[in-house]
Formats: sequence, structure tokens, C-alpha cells
Amino acid sequence: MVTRGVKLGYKVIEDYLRQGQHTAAQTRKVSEKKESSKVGEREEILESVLRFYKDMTDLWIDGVGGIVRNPAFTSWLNGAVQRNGAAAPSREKEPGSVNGADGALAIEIVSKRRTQVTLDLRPYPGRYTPLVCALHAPNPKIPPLTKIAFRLDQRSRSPILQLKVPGRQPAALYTGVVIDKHTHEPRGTLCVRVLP
Amino acid sequence: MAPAPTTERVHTPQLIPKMLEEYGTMTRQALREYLPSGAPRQHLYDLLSDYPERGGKMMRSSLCLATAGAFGGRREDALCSAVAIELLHNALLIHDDIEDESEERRGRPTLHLLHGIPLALNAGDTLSLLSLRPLLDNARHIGSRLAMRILKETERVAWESAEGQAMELGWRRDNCNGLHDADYLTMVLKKTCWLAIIHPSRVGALIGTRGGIDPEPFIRFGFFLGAAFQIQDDLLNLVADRRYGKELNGDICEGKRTLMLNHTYREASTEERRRLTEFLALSREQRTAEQVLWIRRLMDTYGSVDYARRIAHGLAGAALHEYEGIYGGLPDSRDKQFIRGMVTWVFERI
Repeated sequence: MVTRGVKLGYKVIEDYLRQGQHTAAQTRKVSEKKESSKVGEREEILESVLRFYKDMTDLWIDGVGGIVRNPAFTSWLNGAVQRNGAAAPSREKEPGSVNGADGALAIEIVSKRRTQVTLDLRPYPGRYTPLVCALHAPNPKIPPLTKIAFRLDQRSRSPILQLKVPGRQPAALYTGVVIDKHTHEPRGTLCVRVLP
Repeated sequence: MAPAPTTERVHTPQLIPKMLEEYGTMTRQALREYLPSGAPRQHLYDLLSDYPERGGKMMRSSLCLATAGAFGGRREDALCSAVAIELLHNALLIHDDIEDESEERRGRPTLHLLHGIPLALNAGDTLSLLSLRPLLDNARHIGSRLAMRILKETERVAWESAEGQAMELGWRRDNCNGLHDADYLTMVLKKTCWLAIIHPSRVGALIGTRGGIDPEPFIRFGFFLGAAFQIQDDLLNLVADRRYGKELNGDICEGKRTLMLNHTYREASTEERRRLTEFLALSREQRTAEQVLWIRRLMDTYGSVDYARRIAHGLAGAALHEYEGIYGGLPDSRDKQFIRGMVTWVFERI
């Protein structure tokens, strides 16, 4: 009788646990679906944020003028297209013209913190590919921002400055020099202010 | 290979009553802080403190505190959870007594007999709500993350208890007879084991380890110990002892599908089964003392009491086996001895 009780007990509890595992697996499937739709929502929000930054950048560029219509920048764009080996449309080769967004520079910022970005490029007649290695805060103990890249959007053929600010990055003004990727000559400055 | 643990070789140390007293007092004092004292006293707040002040064993809260201690945690950190467990337990007792039409609780008339069903129901609801307060206060003591985890654990135990209670009430309403032992044990797992053993152990272990433990193994341990506890509780209902605090043969009178009743029904002759079915179809007021006594004798005739006792002993042995897997590697302590001692204490308690 004692043995029967133990055997029966184990059967009951193992059945119960198995049922629990099954329910957990089903629940996980449902919650994963919900999670993936949440990810979709998050991406949408992120895109709107990026769009907002792009719009702001466009306005700022229009207001200040000249930077993106800087011939050097345009030539980087043309050069990049040519270096990528793509058959560049003839109008891209014309000096002073850019395709896509008509010279509007998009800035993509991935940051949980409020961030202000200022890109200042000197006029330069030749072609170059811009590069920023790192942005440093005045305090050497603060880690630099290193996730910075200039790239060309393949669809719009517009230049994009991409910047990622880690969640725990201390609030500070981070500055760095924009250089020619090949000659390492300075071409301007990039300032990023991470707000508290 | 080590011999399998048996209940015969384990004796409940004096430690159990001592620690139940110590931890029970600690929890009761903290619980009083949560009982409101203003108006409306007569119709609500006096009712809330009634069951907690009747002097229950405080087994659930003590197990929670002891498990936290066994895993190296501070008992103070587990106190809010222990209070919440007692409040929820007392809330469910009030509702159970109404649903079961019970007449005695801890040696006195049940709350609904003293104050009527509407006020007792409301008091039960309020005690349930009140159990949330210490769980919210947990955030100040153990951090919001662990407090939220324990809140989720509490939500689970509430579900399991409700499902177990529904199973038992459903069997009685629909006059289900000839139930298998597995049915009974599944019901007990949900109705009793979760709140009595599994939940306090899981919460205590989570607090003791700051959330760094897989609480799953406590389901097995808690099931075996809780089921042995419940069967023994059902057996105590068949013996005359005022210290037990419930009416003699009250479970038979209420038509509870205990292991003994199910066994008797399965073993009974066709005629006896017919009479049993008829009896169980009656309402509580319609059942007579003679009928109850006849069933009690039938249980002796078919050895149902002995059958249930042996099953309970087997389950207690399995509880000791599961205990070793969870607590075996922990350093020796009063708390650890207390938890182990509970396995045999369930058979010695009144």
C-alpha cells in the first residue's frame, strides 16, 4: 500500500508538471508572438524617431545652408558611388549635384538619451570619404563614443551619419575631428552633446 | 546505495513546536499591524481579526520564514511574505467554511455562523485584499524586482487554490462517486499543497537566495508533504479530540470526497453503493447522524482508514526523498531541521 501511494503520488505530480510544461510552452509561443509584434512596434517608434531626426536635420541644413551642398561632401558622395563600382547616373557626376534627397544629410541616432548633434565640414574642393574614429569628452575617464559611421543609403543615394549612444554613456559634450579616410587630413568637426 | 528514507526512522524533534511558536508569534505580531482598527469595526474589522486570533498553527508562515533562513536569508526579509500567506490563508478559510457549510473552526463556531454569510463573505474578500499590502511593502525590504516575483507567485497560488476548490465543490454538487486516488491527489495538490507547502517554500527560497533559485523542485517536495498533511487532516476528522478544533466526522457530514470515502465507495457492495450515493445526494441538513455513523463504520469494515494512513506514510517517505534533493546540500541549521521535521510532525500533530 505504501509503495502504491508513492508510485501514484509520483504519477500525479509528474503528470501535473508535464501539463505545466505544455501550458508554459503554449504560453511562451503566444507571448513570443506578442513580443515580436512589440518588436515591430518598437521598430516603428524607432523609425519615427529617426524620421524626426532626419526632418530636423533637413531643416537645420536648410537653415544653415551650404554644408551638404559643400562640393567636398558631394564629391564624397559621387566618389563613394564610383568606388562601390555602381554605374553612377551621369547627373551624379556633375559637380555640385547630389541625387536622392537633393543633398540632405540624414542623421540616424540610436540613443535612449536626449542627444544634440552638430556636424561642421570645411569647404573642400576635392573628393574624400569622411571618417570619424571617436568622439571624446573633456574628462579622460569618460569612455569615448565610437559607434560612428558615414555611409551611403543604397535606396535614396543620400549620405547618412549613423551614431549610437550607449544607454549608460555619461552626459557630456563629445567632440571629434572628421578626417579624410585615405589621407587622414582634417575636414571638419563633429560634436555630440549627451544631455542628462 | 543509501537506503530509502522512511518515516519510522525520523522523529519529530521538540524543535517543531518551539519554532512554530517562535515564528508564529513573529508573524502574528507583524500581521496585527496590517489589521485596520477604525470603523466599521462591528461589521468588518472585528471579523477580519477573528480567525487569525484564534491561534492556528502558523505552519505556512513558519515554513516560509524557515525556508528563507535555510537558504541563508534574513527572516525579517521574509516577514511581509509570511504575513501575506497567513492573511490569504485565513481569507480562504472563511470562504471554504461557507462553501463547505462547516460549523467549527479552531474550536469555535465558524465566522458565517457567528455573523451570517453576507458579512463573512465580505470579511473574506477584505482579508484577500489585505494580503496585497504586505506584498507591496515587500518592495521596501527586498527590492521591487523580487517583490514583483513574489507577487506573481502569489497570483499563481491563488489560481491553483481556486482550481482545487472548484474540483472538490464540483464533485459534491454533481454527486461524483467512485473517484480514483489520482483524482483526489490532483485536487489536493491544487487545493492544499500549493498554499500549505509549495508556495511558502518557493517564496522563502526566492527570498533566501535573492531570486537565484529555480523554484520548480519545491512543487514535488510540497506535493508529497502537503498530500500527507491533508490525508492526515482528513484522518483526524474521524477521531474524537477537541484539540483538533473541528466537528467529529464533519467531513462525512459535508460529503467530502476524502481518500477514505472514495476507497469505501469502491470497495462497497452494490446495495451499499446505492445507499452511499443517496446519502451524498442529500443536502447537509438532510443528512442524519445515523447515516454518518453508518458510513464511518463502513470505512472500518473495508479498512479505508488504514488504507489512507498507509498511503500518507508512503507520500511522507517520498517527501523526505525530495527534501534531500533540495535541502541536502545546505549547511545544517535550525531552519533546515525544522523543515525536515515537519514531514513527521504532520502525523503527530493534533
